[in-house]
Amino acid sequence: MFRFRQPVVDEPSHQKPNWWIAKELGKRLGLQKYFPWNDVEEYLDTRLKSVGLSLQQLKKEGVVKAPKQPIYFEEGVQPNFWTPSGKIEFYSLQLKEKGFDPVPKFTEPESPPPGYFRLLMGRAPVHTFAKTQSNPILKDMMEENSVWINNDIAMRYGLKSGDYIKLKNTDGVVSSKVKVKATERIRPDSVFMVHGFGQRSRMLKSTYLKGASDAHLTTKYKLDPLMGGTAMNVNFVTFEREA
Amino acid sequence: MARFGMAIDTKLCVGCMDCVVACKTENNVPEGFNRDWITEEAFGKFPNINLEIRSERCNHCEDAPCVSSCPTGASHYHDVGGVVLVEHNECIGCKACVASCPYDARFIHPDGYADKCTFCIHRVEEGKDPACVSVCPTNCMIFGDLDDPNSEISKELNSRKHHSLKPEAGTNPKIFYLT
Repeated sequence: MFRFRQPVVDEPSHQKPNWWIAKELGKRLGLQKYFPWNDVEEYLDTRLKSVGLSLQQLKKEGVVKAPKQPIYFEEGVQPNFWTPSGKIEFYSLQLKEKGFDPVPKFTEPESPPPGYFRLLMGRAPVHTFAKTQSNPILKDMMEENSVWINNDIAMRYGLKSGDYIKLKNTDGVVSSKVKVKATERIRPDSVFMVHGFGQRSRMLKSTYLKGASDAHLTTKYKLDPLMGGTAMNVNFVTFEREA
Repeated sequence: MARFGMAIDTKLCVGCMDCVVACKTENNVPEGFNRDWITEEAFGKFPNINLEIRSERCNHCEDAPCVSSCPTGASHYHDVGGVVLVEHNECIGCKACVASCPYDARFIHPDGYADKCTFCIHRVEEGKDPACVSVCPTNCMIFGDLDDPNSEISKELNSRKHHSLKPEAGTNPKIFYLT
């Protein structure tokens, strides 16, 4: 099924669409060959043409149902794992040829330094990324995030639910103040925050400095040498008492 | 005579608060107030913990202290289903009901009257489910007649373990949590 959302009003202050921003960034980074289309409409049209549709048709009809094709094994799809053997490979000759362990093994993550905790980030069902925090109804339900701290750790540091603290990471970056949530629902060596809070633009009047931002504390990241995945839950923070 | 209640499956509820949003928009609940809300309660010690997520609201008690404490009769049992309601025009905003409710389910509306969950009686009388029940993405909430042995809610309560909140308050709440 193809659905198309069309703008109802023009952007009020010449804001630029995501795709335009990506293309312009690409240009400046010397990656223009990946953006051979003039604008997002041309890009979408190219993709739609590949399945026998067009942007014009989608604009007119809004929703286009493509003929149903089998996508599950139960529907008779023959699996293809894009490996030399065509099967799931527990032992990979391709990896071995590239100099990696042919049977990748679990690598234990490093422990936090003394007095520090691994900063984990995630989502709440109420909010979508960092863009719904000022919606009046959603804001009413979750106005700020909190930092989850294991009960035993909170007690050791003399913290209780509702206290405000700041978090400081190993690079010296300090967060805005954030409410403590002492709980059994987190392991003692880690703390957790919902993403999308601690916004620093004064223009965001209803969300300015409400809670803290995990993104600002994510000054380090790790790359998986094997498949290039980016790990962001690799920063360590300590508690700073809010004066 | 119907006797309306609600059974909420804590094994299905994920605490997404869609019920809270639905209630706020259906009933124009003013900003800063809620007729329903989510409670998350963890039992045990890490890593052996159990979590119960509950969508909570007025329990529409059969022996409701908010009704017996109301000096004007504004708080009353509705003819249909025994739902506890407030007659806004008769309420003087004295807050006796707010203080007497064991579930903290009531608040004083900025317009001056006590307000709370109505089981969306305006929808129920049209044959619809309450707004919260109708939007639940996991279908964890069952609204129905506790006196009808063939209703879905009666069947669930007969076959599943369940508990109510603060039974020791002795108010005979009509919201049950399936566990």
